[in-house]
Amino acid sequence: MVKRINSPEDLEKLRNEIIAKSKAEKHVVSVCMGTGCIALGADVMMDALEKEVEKHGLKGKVEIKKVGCVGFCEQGPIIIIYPEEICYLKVKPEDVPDIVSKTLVEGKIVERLVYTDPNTGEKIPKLGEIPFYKHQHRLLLANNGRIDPRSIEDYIAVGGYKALAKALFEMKPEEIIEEIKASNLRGRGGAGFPTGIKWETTRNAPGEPKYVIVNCDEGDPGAFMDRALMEGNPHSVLEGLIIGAYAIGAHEGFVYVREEYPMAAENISLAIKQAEEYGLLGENIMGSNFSFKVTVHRGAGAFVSGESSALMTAIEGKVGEPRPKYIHTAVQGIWNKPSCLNNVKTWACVPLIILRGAEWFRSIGTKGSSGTMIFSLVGKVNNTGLVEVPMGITLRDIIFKIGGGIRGGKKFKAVQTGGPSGGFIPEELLDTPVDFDELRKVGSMMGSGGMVVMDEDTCMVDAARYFVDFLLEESCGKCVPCREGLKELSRILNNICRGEGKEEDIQLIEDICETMSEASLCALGRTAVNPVLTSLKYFREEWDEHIKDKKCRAKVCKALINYYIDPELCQACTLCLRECPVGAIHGDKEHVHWIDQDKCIKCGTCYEVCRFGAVKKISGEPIPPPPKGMKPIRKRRE
Amino acid sequence: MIISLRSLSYEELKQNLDKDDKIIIWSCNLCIKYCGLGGIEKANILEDMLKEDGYSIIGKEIISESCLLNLVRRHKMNKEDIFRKATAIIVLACESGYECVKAVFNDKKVIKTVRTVGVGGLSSFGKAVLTAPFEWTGLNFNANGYQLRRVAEKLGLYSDFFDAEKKPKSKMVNIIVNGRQYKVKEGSNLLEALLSLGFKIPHLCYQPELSPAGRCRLCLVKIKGKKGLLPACCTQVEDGMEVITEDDEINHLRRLILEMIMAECDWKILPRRSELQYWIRKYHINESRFELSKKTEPIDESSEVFIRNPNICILCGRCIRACAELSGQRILDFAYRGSKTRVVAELNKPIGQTDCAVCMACVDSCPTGALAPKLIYQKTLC
Repeated sequence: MVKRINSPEDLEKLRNEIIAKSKAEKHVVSVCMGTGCIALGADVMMDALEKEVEKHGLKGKVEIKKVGCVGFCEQGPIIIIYPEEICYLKVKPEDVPDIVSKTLVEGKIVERLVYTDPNTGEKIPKLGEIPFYKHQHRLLLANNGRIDPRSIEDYIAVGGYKALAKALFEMKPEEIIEEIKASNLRGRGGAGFPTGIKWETTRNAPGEPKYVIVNCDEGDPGAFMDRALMEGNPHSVLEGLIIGAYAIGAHEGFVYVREEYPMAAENISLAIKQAEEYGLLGENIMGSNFSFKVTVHRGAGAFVSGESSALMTAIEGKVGEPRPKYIHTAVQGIWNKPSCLNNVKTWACVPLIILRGAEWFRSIGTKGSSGTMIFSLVGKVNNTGLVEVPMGITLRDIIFKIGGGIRGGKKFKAVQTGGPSGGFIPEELLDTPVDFDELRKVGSMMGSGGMVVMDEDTCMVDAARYFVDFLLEESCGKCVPCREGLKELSRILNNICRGEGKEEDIQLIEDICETMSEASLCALGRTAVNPVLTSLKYFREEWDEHIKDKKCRAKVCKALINYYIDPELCQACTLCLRECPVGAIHGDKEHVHWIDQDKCIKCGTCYEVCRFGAVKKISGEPIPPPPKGMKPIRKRRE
Repeated sequence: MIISLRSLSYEELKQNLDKDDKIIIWSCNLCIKYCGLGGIEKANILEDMLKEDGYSIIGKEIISESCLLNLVRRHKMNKEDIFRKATAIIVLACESGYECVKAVFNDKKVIKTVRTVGVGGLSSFGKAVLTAPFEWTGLNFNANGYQLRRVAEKLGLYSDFFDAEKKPKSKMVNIIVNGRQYKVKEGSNLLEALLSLGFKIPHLCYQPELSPAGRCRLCLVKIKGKKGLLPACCTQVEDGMEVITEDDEINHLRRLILEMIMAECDWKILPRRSELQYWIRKYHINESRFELSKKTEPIDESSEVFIRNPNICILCGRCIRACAELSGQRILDFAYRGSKTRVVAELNKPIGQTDCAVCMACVDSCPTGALAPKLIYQKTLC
């Protein structure tokens, strides 16, 4: 049984005790236990590491920590060794003996495991100097590689719950709200509504009880910022929530975690339990007269439940459908009581602002949007992972400096920000600063922080089709424009991708988009048209090619491409001939192969297996006729 | 249809009430509505009148049919808290309905307001007439129907509602609609206020008796100072509100939404008198540019009284809300989601095999005729 913290002094004492205890250990080995690294085998490696450390008799001298996602998921599993901050990437169980015997015992660096700059070939052992991390500004994710998310002591040791003590004992609720307002913190869920004003609305709204809610229903494909924070540092979210509840005057809170994030739900539940044991949650928090309890609610897996009113109806136990919000949920939310809902990242910003002041927070980022933002950088970039950057950084810096450019040296085509309903931003707008207002101006949005990079191999019509189909699946079907509009859009876009597009389709698409963006009930329908509209706006020529010339320049739309074997390059290895599932390829060992276009199902197998690059994808141009008779091969010159 | 006439004057009604009574106004939504003595509109008027005279009205309850005892019980169960507080219930229903309410709320003061005089129907003008009077009235059967006013004169009853004696003066606010100023009741629903002022605003998912849902998005209006377009059905009237009900942009959107709805159901086979057809004609739409849905779901004919044709359903949700709010049964609900959404009865059973009480609230509310009575289609057009 742990001792209850009954005053800020108790907390300080506990912190000092924890720090004093951990000083005995020389090295701390942090093993990233984010979902990404576990998928790459971090748990197996962890077992090996524990055994190895024991074998060398280092137990007690070295502390092994399972930490949350450190963000560089591309290079997982990741080990960071403190205090030197040596970062080992792509660590396999067989690398563990080297790490223990060289680094931990002798203090040397295992060269083959450190980051190598792909351009200069330079070895960079220090975490902070890797370009991926160097250009970031980590505030919310700062502790993700340092603390064990399942240990409240770790969080307290790095200064956790200090902000709560300050808020409870040195500030009045109104002062906290004023501080948040002064910091210009805007909702990180995507809409960018000023958090302080939202809190004030809920505080002043009539009706008791009031509720506070954490929105961790992150459903965007390819986005995992909230998950990383919830899994890697749940106490920071919890601390923010308690401070918010105190400021608003709420005594009950909910954490809505989507069912697909089991580890996030587990870690936050554990965090709540630990905080309760220490008296940082529950009755009379830290000996003050403020009481607050938190319940974890696991969502049932609907994308639209991330919308605030839908999330609240889901917590009430009803179907997660948005309701008309002409009275804000801040005034009438769960059970028609004032409810303040914020994103995971917004709550996690709160302790930082309280501790370091609004002035400091405002100094980061731009005038309109202060602070940092976490993006999950995915798609065709070299370094995929979680990126925390100050607002106002340009997209180019994120993609090329932090992301390391496009994979395989291909050409950049577009970046989609803000999840499936964000717009595509073309190359000429790459110098757009990333903040709430600027992104909206170019037809996209901040969203909750997804960032999908597309290269020249992406067909923009197909990409728009993909996201419309995704949203069609996820629309709740309540209002006509969203339900019917998406259905129609999906039908038209699928037709265009099949080469059955008509010229009047563009007008119809524009009409549907206008209706949806003006008339839909919730933000899902209103923003669902962004991918289509921006694709039309910035990549119109591709649409025209699809409709008029039946050509797909990225060679993605199956119906518009053909496979063809270049007789000059074919070496008659018969590999494609054997692999073809429908027997559409003709030829033999001595003679050039050719594809029977009537039989071909365009599965692309031949294209993938050909070692000579003889199989070509062509689109919008006539297919060269098959060779007359059996054409002998032309042997490659050595 | 049961024909009733009012038997109490307003003064007599007040004599039955105490100032400290907690009153609930109870009304059917069927026969009595067509007789002009009940329904949400009349209940609102009565509420205003009584409130003005200092009575405390704690609720209004609209039920599809009070003469179905189990539905009355359902309503009591669904809203237990409010009924527990009540001490008096004013029943705007025929005598048969009154008896049911009295039987269920036997511990409360239940006040009868009408006398039932016989059975009748709707005349060709859509007005209720009495065709088969009860014996005590001394009238003979009349296939063409007696006018209610005449019957009332003869029998010493009233054929009109309480308000004819005393116009309630509820608090009015000014709103500006399309540049002209109007006075409307404070806190009323914007769509209802606009409709009562004579503006033809299309709406399919809104019904005065039911809670607004904002699903069809046809009643979108522009309100000065508010961002974007707002559905009038989900907006409350505020003093000084400036509303634009129609301009090119709004009409364009409405036509597109109507086209979408048309594509959703097989609009060519809609009954001519359905609300949807009315708005399609009103907006001069001849063809939907969208692909007609080719739903071929089986028509549910399992109920003895009505059929359910899912192929012309536009998912407005009125039947679902009617089933929950008017009948109190909650037989119907949505299933699935997104473009696969559909209305199902209980756990996707044929409606004849459910607990449906055949109160016809859903049939009465359907704007397309997806739910239609098997015998006569008596519903009047909006």
